[in-house]
Amino acid sequence: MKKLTIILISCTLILSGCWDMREFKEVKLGITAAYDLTDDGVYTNTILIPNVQNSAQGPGQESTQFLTATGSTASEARTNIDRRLSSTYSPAQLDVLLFGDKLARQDIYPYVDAYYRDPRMHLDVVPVVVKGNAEQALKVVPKSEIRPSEYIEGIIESEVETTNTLETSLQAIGSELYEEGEDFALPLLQVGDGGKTVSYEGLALFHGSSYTGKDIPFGHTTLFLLMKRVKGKVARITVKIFDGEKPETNNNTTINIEDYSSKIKTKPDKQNKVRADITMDVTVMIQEYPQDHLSLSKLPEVKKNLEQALTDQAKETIRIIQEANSDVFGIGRSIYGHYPDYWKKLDWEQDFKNIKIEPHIRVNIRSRGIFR
Amino acid sequence: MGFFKQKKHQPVQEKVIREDKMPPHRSTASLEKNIQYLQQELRNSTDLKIRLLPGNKQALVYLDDITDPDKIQRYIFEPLLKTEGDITKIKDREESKDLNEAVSSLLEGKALYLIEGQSTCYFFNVQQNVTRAITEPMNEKVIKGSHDGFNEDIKQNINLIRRRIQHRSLTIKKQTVGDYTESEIALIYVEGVVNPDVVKELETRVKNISNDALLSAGAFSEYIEDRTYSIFPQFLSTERPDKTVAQLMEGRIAILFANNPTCLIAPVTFFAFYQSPDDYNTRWLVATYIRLIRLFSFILAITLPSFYIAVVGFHFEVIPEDLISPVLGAIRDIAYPPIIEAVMMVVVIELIRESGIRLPSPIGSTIGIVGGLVIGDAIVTAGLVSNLMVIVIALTSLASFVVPSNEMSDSLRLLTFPLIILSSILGFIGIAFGLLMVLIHLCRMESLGLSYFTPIQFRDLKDTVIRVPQFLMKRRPEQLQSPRPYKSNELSDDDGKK
Amino acid sequence: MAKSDTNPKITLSQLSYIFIQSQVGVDILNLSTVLHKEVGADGWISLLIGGAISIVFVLMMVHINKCYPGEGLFDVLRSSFGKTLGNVAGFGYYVYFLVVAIYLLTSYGELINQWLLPETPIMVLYLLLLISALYTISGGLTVIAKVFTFFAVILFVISVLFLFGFVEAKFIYLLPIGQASLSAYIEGIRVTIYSLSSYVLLLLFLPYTQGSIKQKTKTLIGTNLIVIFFYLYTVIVSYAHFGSDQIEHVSQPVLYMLRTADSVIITRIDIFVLSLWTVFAMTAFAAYLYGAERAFAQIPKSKKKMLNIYTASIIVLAVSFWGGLNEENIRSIIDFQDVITEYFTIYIPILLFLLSFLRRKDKKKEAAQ
Repeated sequence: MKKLTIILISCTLILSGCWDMREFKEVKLGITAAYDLTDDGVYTNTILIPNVQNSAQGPGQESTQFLTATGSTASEARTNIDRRLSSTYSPAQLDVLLFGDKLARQDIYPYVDAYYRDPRMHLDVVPVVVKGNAEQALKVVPKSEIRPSEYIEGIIESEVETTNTLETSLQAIGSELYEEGEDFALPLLQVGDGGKTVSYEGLALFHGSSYTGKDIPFGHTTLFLLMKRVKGKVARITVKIFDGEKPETNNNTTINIEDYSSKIKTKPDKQNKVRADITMDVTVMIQEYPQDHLSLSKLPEVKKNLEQALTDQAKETIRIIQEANSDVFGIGRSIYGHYPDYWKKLDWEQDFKNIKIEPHIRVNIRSRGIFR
Repeated sequence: MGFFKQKKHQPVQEKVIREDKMPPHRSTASLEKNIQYLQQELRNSTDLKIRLLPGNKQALVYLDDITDPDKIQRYIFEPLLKTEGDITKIKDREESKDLNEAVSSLLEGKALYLIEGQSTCYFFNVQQNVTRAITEPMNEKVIKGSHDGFNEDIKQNINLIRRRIQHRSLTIKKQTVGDYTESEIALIYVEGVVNPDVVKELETRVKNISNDALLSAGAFSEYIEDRTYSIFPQFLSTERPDKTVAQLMEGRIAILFANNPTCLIAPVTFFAFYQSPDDYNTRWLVATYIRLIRLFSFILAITLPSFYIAVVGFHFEVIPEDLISPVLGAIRDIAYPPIIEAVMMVVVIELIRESGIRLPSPIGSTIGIVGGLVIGDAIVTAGLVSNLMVIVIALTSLASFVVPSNEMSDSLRLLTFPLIILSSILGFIGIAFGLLMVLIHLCRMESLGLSYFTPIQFRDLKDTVIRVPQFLMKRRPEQLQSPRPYKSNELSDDDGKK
Repeated sequence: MAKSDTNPKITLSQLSYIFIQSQVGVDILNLSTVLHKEVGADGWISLLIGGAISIVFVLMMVHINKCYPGEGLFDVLRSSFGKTLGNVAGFGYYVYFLVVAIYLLTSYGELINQWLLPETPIMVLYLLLLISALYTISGGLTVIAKVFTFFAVILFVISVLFLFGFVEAKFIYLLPIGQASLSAYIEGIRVTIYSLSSYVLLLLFLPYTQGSIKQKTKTLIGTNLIVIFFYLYTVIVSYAHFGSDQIEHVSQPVLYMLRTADSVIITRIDIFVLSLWTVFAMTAFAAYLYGAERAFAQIPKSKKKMLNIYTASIIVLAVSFWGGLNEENIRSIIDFQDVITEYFTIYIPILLFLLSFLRRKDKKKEAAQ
């Protein structure tokens, strides 16, 4: 027994090679990739590869390398990139995936399919829509950044912290991509400052796997995400609560959301086929009140105006969502889950635009800060 | 597998008879003939002293180098003067008419008194005792606790144990092993605590040893251990009497050797090699923390290099994104594949270690500096080994030295090699299979017929992975199947409640 | 019938660990997908029903063991069916155990090939798994018990890791309930019972276990419940994580959902879980190989234990190699397995159970006379 085991083990070892060996140092890792569709229907794939110079002390200096390739299909574009590299290109550590809005409007699924299929790919990639050309956004490399490859990822991360965008990844949108009666939103970026910076513009609304062209503008995102029950580390909303005060800034106040609860109740409704009630309670702290003299007696009025302003904002957001026909709240799925028979009678493609979504927002002002 | 076995030519060899089993050789009345026989049997050794007393009718025979001249004076000549030459009146003497017994007595350090015309020989014990002072063993230092240790004198060693267990059930069974050397060994156990089957098993195994010379405890353990082919040590060796006594009271057997300070303890479990007397001298929380560190170091010592190789060579997906550029920067310009790097670095460290042991301590530390600092730095700047690999291998060997037992630490360092090879072929799957085999092997192992590596059970956990306060350790280890499972007369359940 | 080796060798807790380890094989990784394909969102309900039925089967096994004290599976077969028929049934079980072992081996090779090592010849994986299994089995029942007990720790580690799946879970995906048809339910229950079918192996281990019948019953029911809840847990996590459409595209949902699970030190926990899964693949495989070895030992009455294992393993290796050549061959192995599983895990146990009552009556008659 023992001899045979030893022989068998040594056989497996000796006869074997290192079939699956992929040495880390011989791989070019893409950190960010951008997909674009040119006017004549050619796909452009650009990747950003950081190169690290070796140094004896501490991590070396990073330089970036851009490669752009075109092709008539997405995979052809990728192969064309590989042809120009000294070592194999691996998207296994990809962090951000940029889609030009032209391409996103068509269909993003053919580009992300490979990520779902290949177990070596990184699924924790943040898909992002870029207004205009994605390649241009990718190539923005501010000098001040220590690691230029992480610039765009850093933008998204800081926006997640301030509840302006949700923490998303290919894995997270995976179920919504497939599921009927549920859609998703992705962060939207735009190149600004004459090509020197990239700025966050809001959330791009998707329907199915294509961009609807409508988006939730930057100011509205926080409230929208709170309704979706997503909150980063801080959530601040600036709203207009008064009219006609001078100067203009005095009309506005900034609140800091300390605590919130949000509930979406859906039920079949005769009039509008489906009725969804979004009930939200927020506990806020007044962070900025330019008008000064925020006395206790004035609080009820502020509270009333706040509730009104927030409800208006929510309604505005819901209008955009319904216009875009993007069921980001998953109302359809909820109806299917609770009323499967009723769901079969609905034509969600058409009906979603006409259902009634009613926000109910209550505000509780907990504190005015330490300055009265 | 009879196919591979071919009968080899058996050389003819004379059988050596052990001294205590020599057939008796009757002494004669002739002094000269007796002396002649002794000289012949002892191969005319120059240290054989024959002192003919005045009148040439009596002779004192002894081996010069192992007898004490003071004792000869005190025990033989002074009494002889008092009794006016009548040897039969002196006390403390042994008599025999067997010359072969006389030879073995001479070898033990006795002096032989022969008288012309008498066939009776008289022996006097004048052995010279050469002992080292009792010092703390170099390789098992503790911070707190007793600082004595065994030395080469078996009597003194037994003395150290007897002083600690003053009970009549402490049993000491002496035997001799080795046809030439006749090394004395002592099996020590506490009757009533130890499992009698284990004692019987050990005794038969000791009896079956057939060898000319038995010189070290390590060689001895190879004769009686369960699996000689295993990489893991199956006997706990220690030079500390306090550790020995603690193990005896758990229900284990200690084996002491004459002329050897090492004491072997059996049966043991794998975890015994991770226990140190220090653990029982510190606060239990601290001891638990240290135990956990040791366990962690065990895992680190066998898996870290293979893990690194698998990550760099197979699964770089697992590197967190913030680490990518440091790792990439470190390994980019290294010429060799990671496995060569690893083996190279392991060999360097072993070289430093091995050269440091043999050299006297002032030079030894210099070697450490030269090896560790100079080579370590140069090898990185030369681009032969990445600095990450230096960290990995240095951590690994550091972790392997954390083990309180020296043998186990050596085993661990050897064990990294198969894992390195497997991981360089199959990545994580290779490591998984390697660890699987090691663990199955551990589960299969036995120590004197008792299991060596029991799966972690809650009750045994108390004194293996962690150490709970003494009052919670009411039971002896399950593995030993002791006839006295509880540590006190008052029976209580595991939680210490009565 | 050599009664000399029927003295109890394994403890009750070891029995339960053996039971767990022989059930949790590679199958559980894609159980959720299979269930969802058959029953839709109601998969977890059919899992519960199937689990309850499997408990009934476990009870039947204990009852059979009670009626034939000290007799292993093959002795029981012989004493209930008579010598010739019993031997035929014993040979049938030999084939069945081999087929399951082959299935486990090929599915493990397939899994690793798909996820981690696409270029590595599958034969290397087969060989390594076979060697570790042989190394375990050759130590006999006590070593099997010890090894299985030791590796049960990993199950708890993995269950904790599956909690990552809840991070992006939406429980609305578990709804609606009750949409599947009856035939779909039956299909789902069948799948569940098959994945819990290692109760057949219990007859090999029960006679060697210490403890009374009552204790054994309690332990086994508890163990089976643990396994069922573990399955339920994985099914619910993967349902809630993937939703009703994506899950059918994912072949190993429980692994797949860990692809984005990041920890501070390492990312891609799925790779670790997959490597740890080697342990379960090995233990389940070893359990069936042990069954085959026991079965083979009964037929030609050979005393050389290791020879039996070698024969069994060479057969397993050869068939697995053939199966690994292309997908069609694997399909035919799985189809064959499905066919005979039904006989050997459902019909014969029920038959044995019924026959055991007859035997009891015989005994009573004997006592009356």
